[in-house]
Amino acid sequence: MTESEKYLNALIEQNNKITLEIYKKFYPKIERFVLQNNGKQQDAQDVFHDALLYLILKHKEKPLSINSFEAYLFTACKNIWRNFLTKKRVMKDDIIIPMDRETNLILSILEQQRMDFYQEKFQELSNNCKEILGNYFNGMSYQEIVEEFSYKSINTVRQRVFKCKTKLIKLIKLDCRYNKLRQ
Amino acid sequence: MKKQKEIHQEIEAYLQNEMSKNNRALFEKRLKNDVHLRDELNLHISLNNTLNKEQTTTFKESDLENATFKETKALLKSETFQNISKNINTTSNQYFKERNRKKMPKKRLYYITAIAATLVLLIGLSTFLNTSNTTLYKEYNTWNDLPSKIEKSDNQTINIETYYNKKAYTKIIDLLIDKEQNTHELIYLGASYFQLNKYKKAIEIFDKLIASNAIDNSKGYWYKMLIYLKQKDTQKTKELLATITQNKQNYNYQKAIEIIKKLED
Repeated sequence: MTESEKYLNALIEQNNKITLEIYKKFYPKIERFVLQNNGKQQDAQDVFHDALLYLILKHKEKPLSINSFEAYLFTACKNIWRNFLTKKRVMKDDIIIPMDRETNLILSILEQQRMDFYQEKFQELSNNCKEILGNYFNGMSYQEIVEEFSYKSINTVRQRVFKCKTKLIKLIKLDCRYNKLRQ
Repeated sequence: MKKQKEIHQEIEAYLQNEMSKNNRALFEKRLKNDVHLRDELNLHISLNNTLNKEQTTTFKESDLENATFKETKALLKSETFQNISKNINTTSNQYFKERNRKKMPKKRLYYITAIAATLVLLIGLSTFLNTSNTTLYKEYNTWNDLPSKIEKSDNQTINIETYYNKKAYTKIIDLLIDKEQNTHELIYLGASYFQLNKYKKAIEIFDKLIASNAIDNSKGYWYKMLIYLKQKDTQKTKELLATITQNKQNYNYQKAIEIIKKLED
């Protein structure tokens, strides 16, 4: 049994001793992170608690095969805390809806699931598509892509990006998970 | 219906802000009526948002209606998850207790010196300190403002609240002592003992409330704290305030923080 499995099972089985071990081992780092990012100790405590639930939820949906429990926990904490800080996340005609802790947690999970799903589909693309689209999503301009990969013109890149994106969208829509995750 | 490819081209032009003013207005008009087009646009935006690392994700109101959102919410509300969450909270409390205890020895010498040095001062100030506790107590005690359920309840509850307001405390005790009490009743019972100066009994009742599974069992900490504050037991008061401020969801969390600050001043 890996370290991650040991911790996740302990949390699910409500094993107090191992849960305490998780706190001792990982909490100080998370606390430092939250305190450095406009949070208070209470926030750190809330974020840590919610991040543990986040991992369990994800694990129950699909058993996590993760090497580093710490890295995964840290990412979860970062996502939750970042989402909480940028509160204007749920928009309704540009009106900010106040978010409670639970909604924040669920949206963080939803965001992660969407990302995992899109990325999985992204991996099914051809290598060429992955490369060009990857750069496009990373914020490279068409001009920069032309130069980087010596394409003929901006127009060629534009068409390429368009084709790859259409392909990706098709793959996403064909997957039955799309309906459950769509916005 | 337009071909998929044309639709994509339109969406791309719309998102890149490459449409003429007229076409943009037309497109937005179509968006209002065409569910299919709207879904398509949303997927494009969602992809850009999620896969582009520089963008911060914005959520839509529709996310709150989304199937995964609802499923996750239901899961979190389930008994299993409530129990898992409870275990994490209990462990967290235990962790902080241990951590605070460990911090003590290092500071012990400092404390001893400090205590010795201030002891003389304290004796002189004790009368003053007591008044300070009394002032705090007067400012924060909520015995005359117990949670009321009168709007949605049976005769029994109404009776209890009326008796309390009429200061008929023994009647409340007679009424509640031999039955299984809910949160509301425990509070009124504890408060009645308190009003009759039966502090020990009152604390017993609030301990019972704390030990219960009720969602608002943290109210027990608050009332217990008030009793100790009234008795000028600063040590115990502080302990309870520390417990209350460990969790934002605890009853009167904000007030507890205020009192801690004032006690330090």
